[in-house]
Amino acid sequence: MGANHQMLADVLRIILILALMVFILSRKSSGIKEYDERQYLARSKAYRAAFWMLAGYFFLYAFLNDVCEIRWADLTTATFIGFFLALSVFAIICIITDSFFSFRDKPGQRFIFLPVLFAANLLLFALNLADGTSILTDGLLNFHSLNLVAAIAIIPIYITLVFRYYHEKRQTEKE
Amino acid sequence: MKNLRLKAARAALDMSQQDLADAVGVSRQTINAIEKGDYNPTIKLCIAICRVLGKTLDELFWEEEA
Repeated sequence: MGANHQMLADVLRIILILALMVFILSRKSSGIKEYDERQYLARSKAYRAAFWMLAGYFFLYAFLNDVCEIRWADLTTATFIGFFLALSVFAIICIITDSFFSFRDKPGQRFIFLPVLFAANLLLFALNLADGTSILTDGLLNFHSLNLVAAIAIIPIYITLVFRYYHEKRQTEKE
Repeated sequence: MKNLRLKAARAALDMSQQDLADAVGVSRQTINAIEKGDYNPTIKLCIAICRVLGKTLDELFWEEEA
């Protein structure tokens, strides 16, 4: 299999994992369409923050690459890292403002799903390493590192989720 | 500004924030934010809350000028 085909397969695998993640996170357990106006507003703020995060990241990447000539990752890898960063910012803000999880959802699903996603990414990364694939090409981070990046991106999201869950539990008990 | 009238009306019916949230179709945190004055609900949500609590908009949401 050529390098381009392998890259395409890796990118498709990541897209598949992300699509699965979005599908499961957006699935309503009751099947009832809910509308919470405060959550929609909070979510729009999270989209904005993620957008500016991504814009800032690309600006920094271009500046480092072209002006300072500091090269650390190939273009595909750098693009996906930026995407993971923006996705993490979006998810964390949504969790903090409780605009991601609707009231009928079961938080237990998230507590299981995120570690599974984390483990799956780590496993894929380990399998790549076991195949003798390097995450560096000419000293630059290549797309084989993306599973590791995705796994790392899940950690702050999970920590925020756990923190938020216990904070919410305390609030409910107080009320 | 805190909405103590809403909290009192809810408590009078022995409803928790979650009960009211379920009744009007929003999250508990949204009801909490309204009571704490952190969020201004739309007129649609105000009416839904009034209907559930058996109060008028004036009774729950109208602020008299000081």
